[in-house]
Amino acid sequence: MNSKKTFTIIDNLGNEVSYEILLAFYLYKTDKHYLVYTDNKKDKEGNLKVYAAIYYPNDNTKLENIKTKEEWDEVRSRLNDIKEV
Amino acid sequence: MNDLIDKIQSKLKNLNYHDIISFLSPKIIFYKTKIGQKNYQLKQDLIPKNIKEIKLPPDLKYECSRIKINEEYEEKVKQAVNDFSKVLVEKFSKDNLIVFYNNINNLKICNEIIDNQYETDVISTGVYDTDNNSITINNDYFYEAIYHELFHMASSVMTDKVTYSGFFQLNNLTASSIGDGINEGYTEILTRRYFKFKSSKYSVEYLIKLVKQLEIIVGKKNMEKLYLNADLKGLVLELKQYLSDKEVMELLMSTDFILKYIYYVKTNLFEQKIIINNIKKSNVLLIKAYCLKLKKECLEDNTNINNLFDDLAEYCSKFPKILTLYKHKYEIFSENDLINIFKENFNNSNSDDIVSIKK
Repeated sequence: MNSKKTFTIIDNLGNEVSYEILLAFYLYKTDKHYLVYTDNKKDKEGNLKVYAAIYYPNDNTKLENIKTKEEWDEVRSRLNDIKEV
Repeated sequence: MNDLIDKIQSKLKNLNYHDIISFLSPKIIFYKTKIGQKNYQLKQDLIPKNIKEIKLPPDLKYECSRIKINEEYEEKVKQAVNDFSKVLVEKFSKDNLIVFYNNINNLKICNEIIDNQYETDVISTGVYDTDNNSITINNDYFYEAIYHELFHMASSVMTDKVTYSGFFQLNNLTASSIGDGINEGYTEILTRRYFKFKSSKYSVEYLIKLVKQLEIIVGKKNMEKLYLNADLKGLVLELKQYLSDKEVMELLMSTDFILKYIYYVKTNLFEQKIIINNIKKSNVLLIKAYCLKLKKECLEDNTNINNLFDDLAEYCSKFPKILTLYKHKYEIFSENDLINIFKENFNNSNSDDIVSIKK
């Protein structure tokens, strides 16, 4: 079993927040890198909150929103492979 | 003699590897883990704001790019195609390279980079598509697959009505086919013989043993020639020297059956017995053909009968005796089978023929 991987975001005020990485992958089609992560908090329904963003391996100041339906479908498909049954 | 070889080498130099490679939407997974619970909610458009710095783990700082992937892959494919061509030109006569020459010009190679972290029962390492003259490779098994599929490419001809690929024939109108079992077995034999890479196609392993026995009957050079010229008819004619039409068909159909069912699907005991019967049938037919071949050679060359039995014993010793299918062991070759074949082929001899066998 893989040991947990995390990454940290530091904001302009110096606050640090760590997230657990669930998935990191590259898509040839879009030529982009994707990060899927969680803060291990739950919403009102008790569901684990999961987030996804585009990251840049060589730019440590940037995370972007995923914009296209195709990309979100890809994220969902990857998440489906790793969820507990 | 050198004319065709020069043409092949010229074609290889002029091949545009950038164009022949296409990608089937591959993804590269750097990292994944299991989500610790069943229910999760994917929140969209909630990127943290005012980011000053992101501290990523070092192994996620590797940057992929299409250019990098294309360059690496082009180089790999170029090397593999050149190695393959070099071997073909060195090891086979020019008469056997016509199909290869015709196909190398518009070959396409597709790459599928897939995540194999979670095992499946069957791994698809590669496929050759005769319609498009294209090879699709599972990138995790590049070298295991590429030479095997290049052999398919080097032995495939398509007409309107029939597709010929090595010893495989497909009727394009009815989709009925024959010879797939022997073809896959022989393609893998050639791949291992000349490139030392083993395909990971499980179903081929047993067929390789059977088809090697077939090659002993037909002869190595002859069989390679028939294969590269997509000449199933020629192979059938070779076998008809020793077997009836019906027996030749049975051999082709039982090897097709073995390819399809031996390891691909989980079978119950009844189905396993059908598989075993097909294996036994193939064994018996091959031994019968070899018996008759030796008998014929013995009569023609007036060789010593002891040599015949020595040859036969050595031939038979190469057949596996036991096969395990999903934890069940089956005897697939027994002394009784052998004795029955000997009796059938030698006791019916006429007085000028070879004397009866010893037990």
